[in-house]
Amino acid sequence: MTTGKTSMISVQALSKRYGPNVAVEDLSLSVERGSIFGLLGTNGAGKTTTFKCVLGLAFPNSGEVRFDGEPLRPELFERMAYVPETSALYGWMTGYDHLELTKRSFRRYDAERARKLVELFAFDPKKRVKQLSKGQQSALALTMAFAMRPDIMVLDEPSSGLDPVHQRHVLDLMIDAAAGGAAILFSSHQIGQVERAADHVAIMHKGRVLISGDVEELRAGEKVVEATFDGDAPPISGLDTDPHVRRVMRQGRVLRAYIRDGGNGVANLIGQSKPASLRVLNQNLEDIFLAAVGDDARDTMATLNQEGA
Amino acid sequence: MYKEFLRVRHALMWFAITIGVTALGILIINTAAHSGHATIVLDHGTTKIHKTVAIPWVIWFAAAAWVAAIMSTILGSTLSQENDHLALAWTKPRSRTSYATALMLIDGAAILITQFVAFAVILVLFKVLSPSSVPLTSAPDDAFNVVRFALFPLAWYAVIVALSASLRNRAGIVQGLIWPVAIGLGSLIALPAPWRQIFGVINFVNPILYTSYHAGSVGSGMVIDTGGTVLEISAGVGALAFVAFVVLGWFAATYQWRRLEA
Repeated sequence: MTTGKTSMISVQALSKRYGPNVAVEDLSLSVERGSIFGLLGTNGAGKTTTFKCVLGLAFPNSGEVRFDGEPLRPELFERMAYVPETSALYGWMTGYDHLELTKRSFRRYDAERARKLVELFAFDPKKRVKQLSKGQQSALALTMAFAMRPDIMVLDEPSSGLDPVHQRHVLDLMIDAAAGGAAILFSSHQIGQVERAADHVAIMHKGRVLISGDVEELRAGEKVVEATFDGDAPPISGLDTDPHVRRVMRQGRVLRAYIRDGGNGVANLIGQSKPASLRVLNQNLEDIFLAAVGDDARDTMATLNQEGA
Repeated sequence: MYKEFLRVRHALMWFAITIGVTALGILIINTAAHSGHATIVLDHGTTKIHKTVAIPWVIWFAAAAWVAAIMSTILGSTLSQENDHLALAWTKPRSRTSYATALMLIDGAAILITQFVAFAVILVLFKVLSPSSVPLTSAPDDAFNVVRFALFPLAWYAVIVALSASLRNRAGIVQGLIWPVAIGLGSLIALPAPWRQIFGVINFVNPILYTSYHAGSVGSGMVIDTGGTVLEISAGVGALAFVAFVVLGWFAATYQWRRLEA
């Protein structure tokens, strides 16, 4: 980000390898105060590893992470909240025990806010964590995080397991926290959620950031040229090598070219092949994601559709 | 720390129930089996001599140390158990060393509580069940031995926590094997040379062999010796060894644990 706003989370050239496997490579991002940054990626893209490296839970091989201009140190966690993808809660402890644990650990803990959050997520804090469903455990973790009123939040799949109503609550809480000045870095499998809540997004694939930027600017810059032919879509010379073209997909009579900037030139090129119809469409985040990640996204999308069903 | 407090409270509650039920059971069984006091008879071959036998009270504190060592075994998995919750434990505003040390201090306090409660219960049982002719005696080195036997379960805990700190969900292996391995290693010293010397060296890292206790004399008719000459070291060196176990165990456990990845 190049604006003059304060960068609350700054990651520069972060790399993490596990033996010969590259989990994250040369990742840079910045989350400003009052901003929500969404991290999108297929399974295994490196989102969770990125979060762990950012928070010092894993040791990066290289790179630098700063919070509000300072390197990570334990005292900074007074201002930070992290909700991991998989529950780190203690199964034998109750929800109340966890809230008490948070209260004793963080001076910023707001008991009244915690009470309201418990009501909002409608889970029973008297139950042991192992008796709670996955969604209720997520709700408890979110309650612990938001009850601290942190300046910096790192949320890894925060609405995982929650029903659509509570997923919406999570988005509202994030937007509310950002409006109050918090910087939020989060990942989600639900592209619609990222599109709704995030003002900045990065699409990760195989450990690398493929696309990053302001969501509105990405939407404005990314187009899809959709052409329908009378027969099978023909190969078009020069289309695949056009620097504006991210990806070309042919399915029967339909040809789609996902492009960034310069949509008219590509449309003209395709138009020379005399399609039956030709349209230049704005892309939503899902289109941008699919265009960037390509075939590897299909399995993920199928999984997401199953999860959403 | 609140989590460890809850964990320790839970363990102490079960300990209290267990030792209470055990003590009650012993009392009930003994009351049913005996009436009146038994006579102590020392059997010296063909001659039976009625003799007043005195027992040093520290021996019961030493016995309580072994009860506390069981608690040490249970609580020794603390850092290993925490490995499933690092995302929670390591995102608190305190250093990992401070966090791990606080966990171990709470466990250490619980172990000491266990030992003193066990000692009290053993004393009560002894007073109720023993013949009236068996007095408890004290000695000048009692205070030293109390410190020494209070250090043993802490040293035992330190060894377990150091061996299991980097294990995720596998602390049970250490907890389950450490007793048979330590006792087995200790017994191997009884082998003839050169095995005695070889296992003697190996057993320098075996806390159990520093728990030797010696009281009385043959002439007094009462000798208590728990194998003090096995490692051929003095009780003072033994106490220092326990301190070394505690310090090195804390260091090894903390060093490993803070270098893990969530």
